[in-house]
Amino acid sequence: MNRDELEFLISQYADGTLDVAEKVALEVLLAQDGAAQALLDEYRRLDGLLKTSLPMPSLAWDTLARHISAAVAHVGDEGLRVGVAEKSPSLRRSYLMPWVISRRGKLALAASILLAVVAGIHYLSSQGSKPMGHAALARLEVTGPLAEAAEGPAINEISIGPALNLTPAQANARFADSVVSLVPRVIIASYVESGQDTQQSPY
Amino acid sequence: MEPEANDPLGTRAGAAAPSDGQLVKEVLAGDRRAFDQLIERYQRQAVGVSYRLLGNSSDALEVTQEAFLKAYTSLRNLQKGDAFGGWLMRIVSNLSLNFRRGRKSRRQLPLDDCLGPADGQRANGSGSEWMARSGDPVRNLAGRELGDKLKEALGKLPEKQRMAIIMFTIEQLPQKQVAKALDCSVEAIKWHVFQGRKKLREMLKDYI
Repeated sequence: MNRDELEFLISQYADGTLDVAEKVALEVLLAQDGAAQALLDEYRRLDGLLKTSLPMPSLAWDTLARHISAAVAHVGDEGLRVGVAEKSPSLRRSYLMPWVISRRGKLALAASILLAVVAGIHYLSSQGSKPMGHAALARLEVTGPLAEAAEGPAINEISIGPALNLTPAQANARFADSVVSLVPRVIIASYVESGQDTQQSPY
Repeated sequence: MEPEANDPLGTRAGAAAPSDGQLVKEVLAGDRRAFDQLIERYQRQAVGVSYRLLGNSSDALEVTQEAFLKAYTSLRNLQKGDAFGGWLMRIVSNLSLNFRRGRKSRRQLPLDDCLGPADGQRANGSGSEWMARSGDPVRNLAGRELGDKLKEALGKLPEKQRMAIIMFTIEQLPQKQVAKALDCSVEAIKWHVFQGRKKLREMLKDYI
């Protein structure tokens, strides 16, 4: 038995929930193990503290019982039927939406619809010739980085690669493939004449 | 060692007292007075658990009333009538935990007249009501400090451990009822109590 198992047994012993055999065995161990006995004493002191240091307020229990009973009576049989309603959709509907089925509810619903129609007609007529669908419901302003404005016409040809005036005899011709894949600068949509500076070596 | 499951506080007058299961049947058959007996039987437990979780008697009374109302309106969902006590405690603990999360419903009836004079005065305060019941100012101060420490330590425990300690150790409810309330086994309750006790012992070592 490790220490944690022993402490668990001591905790149950303090609660009086061990069976007889476990209780007897633990009592033998407690008599031999001072640390285990000290732990049991600490648990008992802790329990005493919890039970005595958190007292209940003084309450008028009879009055409370009457209040609760009155609240239950207020809910009444209709409230008890809520439980039934959970198994019976029709009853649930009748409890949760009584206005749907009662005559007074139907009248209220009809009156509400009539009022809504009249109000809608009145609103539309007050709009005059203003076309529907153009009224601004909300105005939303969005601020952020501005797009770059072009300063001239965009070029319609982009060249990437070694300059055409380079010949294989020239010293950097052997790097032509690398020049294609390692372009030092590419300018797109610019008014400058060339997309690549062909006058300088990429190295 | 455990009190009888259906009568943990010994509130029954004698052997003729009906079981929880019988009372539940009577309520479902239309006898609302049978529910009054359940109220009398379990209101102390309900207030006790809620009060230990909320630290305020006025809130505890409100939660208790709401719990009984919920139990009444949901009674047909209870599979075994004899498990009413544990089932009610589950409702109480859930409502108490939700109370501070702002899900409380409006009060049905004023309950302050249920409080004693001192408790009624404190009902409007926001601080803890635990401890400090004596007239001795020194004891009051020490008691308040200890009460605050206990409340703080309990508040640091994981939820199941805190509930197990409150229901089983402090309120001394039967393990079966606590197990029902926390929806776990009796063995799990023993373990939660043990783990909670270990942590409390460490946190409160200067006081024990």
